[in-house]
Amino acid sequence: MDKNKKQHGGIRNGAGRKLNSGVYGESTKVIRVPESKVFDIKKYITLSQSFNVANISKANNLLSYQPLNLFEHKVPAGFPSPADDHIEKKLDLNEYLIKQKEATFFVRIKGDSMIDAGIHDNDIVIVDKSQKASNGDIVLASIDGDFTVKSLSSYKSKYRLLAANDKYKPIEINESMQFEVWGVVTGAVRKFK
Amino acid sequence: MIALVDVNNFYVSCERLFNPKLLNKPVVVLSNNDGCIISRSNEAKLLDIKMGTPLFKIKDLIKSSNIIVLSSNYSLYADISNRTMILLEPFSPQQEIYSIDECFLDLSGNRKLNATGQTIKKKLWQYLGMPVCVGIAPTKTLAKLANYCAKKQPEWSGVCNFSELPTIRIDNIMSKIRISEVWGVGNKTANKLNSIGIYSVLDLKKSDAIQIKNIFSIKLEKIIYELNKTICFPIDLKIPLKKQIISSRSFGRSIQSYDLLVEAVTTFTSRAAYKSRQQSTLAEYVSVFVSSSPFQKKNFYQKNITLKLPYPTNDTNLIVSIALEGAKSIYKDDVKYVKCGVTLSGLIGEHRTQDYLWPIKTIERSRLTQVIDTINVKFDKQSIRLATEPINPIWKMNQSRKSQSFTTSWKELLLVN
Repeated sequence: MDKNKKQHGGIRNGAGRKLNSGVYGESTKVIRVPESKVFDIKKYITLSQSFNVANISKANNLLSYQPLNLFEHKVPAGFPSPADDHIEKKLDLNEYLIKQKEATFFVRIKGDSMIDAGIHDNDIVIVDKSQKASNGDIVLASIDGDFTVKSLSSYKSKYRLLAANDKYKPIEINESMQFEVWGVVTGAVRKFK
Repeated sequence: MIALVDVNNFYVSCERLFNPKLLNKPVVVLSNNDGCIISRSNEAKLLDIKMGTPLFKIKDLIKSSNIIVLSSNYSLYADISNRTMILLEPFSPQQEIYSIDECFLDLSGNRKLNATGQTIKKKLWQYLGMPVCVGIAPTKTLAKLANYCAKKQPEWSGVCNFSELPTIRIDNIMSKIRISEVWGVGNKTANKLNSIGIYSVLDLKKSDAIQIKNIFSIKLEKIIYELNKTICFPIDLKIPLKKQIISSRSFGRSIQSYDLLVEAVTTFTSRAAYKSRQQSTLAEYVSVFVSSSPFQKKNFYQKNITLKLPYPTNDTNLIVSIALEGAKSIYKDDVKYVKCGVTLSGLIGEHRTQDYLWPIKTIERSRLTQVIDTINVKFDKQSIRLATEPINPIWKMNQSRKSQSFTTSWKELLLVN
């Protein structure tokens, strides 16, 4: 047996799969990853391979959108861009507009009752339900089962809801009303095109 | 210590979040296709409406008591459920999401259990408007029971903590609860236990575990240990891979043409294949079933066929073509079909296959499906679909009383003056 070993078997030059001929077109490496992350990592790899679209798990998220690139300078070869070193992060409007993601809801405004506060017809306002409303806050409130967005005014435990438009009278809240402050309006979004 | 957090009347509570007119009124939510009652407000429970009652059986009561009836709105419920679970996460290093509206939290080492329970309750109410009850105990089975007490007995104000009660007190509570309320004890088992003289939870707790195991099952033996504070069901952190994926619907109206059945089978298969891709699994078998109405005993027809796929796959095109072969072979003329469905089974993880055994074509195909999936997520569901998959099928489910997708569709946001 031992004699034969020298003549048969062993490495044959040029045999086997060609280098870098796998699906990825480059050499691969075995790594350990947490089981819960396998799906995301696989998705990431396949997506980054096939074409460049918003990250799938982000797209699933209702608050998702593609962050803008602050800087992106690609040089095919040669001298690297001096700007590359200055990339800090991508700007994300969610981060700017939303504090408490799980308690944040979007509501569309109908009408002009808050126009002087900068909230126009058809604007989307951002409502944070986790915040406690204080005097002067713009709130989403319900009165006898109907929702409204107005400015909250409280004085000696008496509440009033004020419009930001002279055409509308203040709403006095009395004890016979079913009144609840649902959340605090923390911002508004408007598109022009 | 283990806490079970459970949202009260979850579907009704989600509906109330965006419609304050539903507060303090009897409200029920219906199952798919507006068939049976699957969620009830406390007011509806007081009217003695039972879980699972078919809608048509209580038509009169609904009119006479002004009960508000709603179709189920799963995109809303799923979103609120996700938010709920994320808000509960920080309370414990170990969270087991047990169902859409309940989760177990490991509170070992927490010295202020009651306070934590109250904080959980307050936070979910403030942040999401969800009313919850918390049951705290040394085992999951006991935590479930404590949660039952928190829900049914107002004196706990929503948080029932067994760990701070003397055993006599717990035994007293247990003596008043029927065994069918114990987690994992079904009606059949309960009846059988009654027949050997075990009626209350306390009876079960004090019975001989070994003897019970011999008569019933190991599971029931474990339940007895759990009732005696010995953990047999630890908190399970792994999300189990689904062994099967089922996509089925009752039709809004009966259909009698082969073409329409093809539409339905294509739609359900696409949905099942998508789910399979989402959890990174491949299916080995596809089954198709069709059925006429079970309420019409005459000419009742029901048929099921299972086909092996050429290789494990989650490719929509391939699975649809096989599923349609199956549908063709079980289709019968002159049958009024009211329900059909598709099941993918023999699911294995994507990584467990040996790619190179399949022709390279499948890899390209799967890239195509990925692109389609991405587009469908980014734009609208069904932006790109198979031609036999209709956008607005005539056999669509009845969901006449569905509320808006307030949190998941830009077009359906709440409108406010």
